[in-house]
Amino acid sequence: MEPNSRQAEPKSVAAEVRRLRGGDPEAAEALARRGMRLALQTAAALLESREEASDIAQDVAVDALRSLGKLRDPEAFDAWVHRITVRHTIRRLKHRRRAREAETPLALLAEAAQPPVPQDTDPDALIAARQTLATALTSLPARQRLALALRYVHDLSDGEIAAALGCREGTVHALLSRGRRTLRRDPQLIEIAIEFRGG
Amino acid sequence: MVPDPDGILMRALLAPARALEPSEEEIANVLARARPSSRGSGASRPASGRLRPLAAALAALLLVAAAIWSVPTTRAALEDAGASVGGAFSGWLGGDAAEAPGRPLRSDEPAPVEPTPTFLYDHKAAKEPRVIAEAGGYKLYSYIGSSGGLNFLLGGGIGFGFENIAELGKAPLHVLGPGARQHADAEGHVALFGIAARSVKSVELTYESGPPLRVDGVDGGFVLLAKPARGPREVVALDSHGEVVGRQSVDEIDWRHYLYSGP
Repeated sequence: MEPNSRQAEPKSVAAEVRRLRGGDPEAAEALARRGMRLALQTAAALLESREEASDIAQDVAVDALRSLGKLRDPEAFDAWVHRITVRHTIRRLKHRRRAREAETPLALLAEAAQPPVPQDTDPDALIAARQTLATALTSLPARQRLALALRYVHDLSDGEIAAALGCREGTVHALLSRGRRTLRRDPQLIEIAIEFRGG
Repeated sequence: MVPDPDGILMRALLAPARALEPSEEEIANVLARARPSSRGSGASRPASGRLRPLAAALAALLLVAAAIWSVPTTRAALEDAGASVGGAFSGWLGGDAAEAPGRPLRSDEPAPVEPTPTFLYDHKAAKEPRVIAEAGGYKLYSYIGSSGGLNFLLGGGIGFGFENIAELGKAPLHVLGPGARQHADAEGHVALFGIAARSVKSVELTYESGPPLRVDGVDGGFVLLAKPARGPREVVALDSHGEVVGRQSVDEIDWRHYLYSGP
């Protein structure tokens, strides 16, 4: 596990928050972009649909900007966004309908950046694997899915995930463990893991 | 050993989510919706040209605030719908497209200066997009947002959203402010955007000295190509008889930001 490897910019984020509080509309755009990116990535990992994730991310970004006055520590903007994202995503997961066929499955999205994967990985197989993971994730309880997404999409630490979920670090540890344990039992994911590790 | 699907594998499988970036259209939509807190901020940016979004948006904010929370009209009785800015848009928002000001956005909308924001063609994000006014290639767009609110785009750069007609107040005109570009053209003009009541048929921008800039044929909005060096003073609204029905100062705009010193 290697949490906390993300490229955080707490000072610049805090500066943007202060600029917005001072009435700078450019800061609003910068924070809207940052907040929406964070929420979009989390929601997309859970909802399989770019369009549905966008709806949530926009709601999150709007909430974050409108309620910025409640944010005591400007450096905690990202954590603030994660927490709002959790709230919106859980609500959506409880009431969601199945994604329409017209929506874009996450697993089929074109990538802007490739992560480290084996050189000889078959692109079709990778897409299929992603679809398998997406399907497997849907079998998990919402908080386990969120904990996994915050860890593997944003590389948050247990403490940061706890802040987003509004629980103790020990609870996060349990959520992650249970989520991973369930995924490990998925025969298709086991097969994929074996292939990724060269058999 | 039971292989676990975390670490590299999980990150590889979630890579598409990690790589997602919001589009300019989504950002613009967020900014328009978050207007009360974000204070009228930049949306999609023009492809080129020198930008002063900060000054423009602040000026726009001040102007809208002045228009909404003060009483800038010169005519006492402006209660009927035709005499207020809100009335110009109420029929449209009420579902009567025939009452909408301006003209519908064309699928092949000419964009000689600023590109038309692409999200205006997304019927989910922007319903019934229209061009309310235009001058010198600069356009004032309006559309009904996904939540049913009324939205305006000053060219391609500054966005405003109003949750309901009441927020527009009863004034006969609102000067929304300059667009995101510091200079509209090589002559140093600045595009100044505004919306107006049905009763307003012409608007004039007065200067510290010299003749005013007049635009006729106003249909719910206007774009004035102002000359900052001449010291713009106020926008005057005129009805079909040439009678002054409203006026709004543009002193809140710091025109020094827009003085043009050449390319």
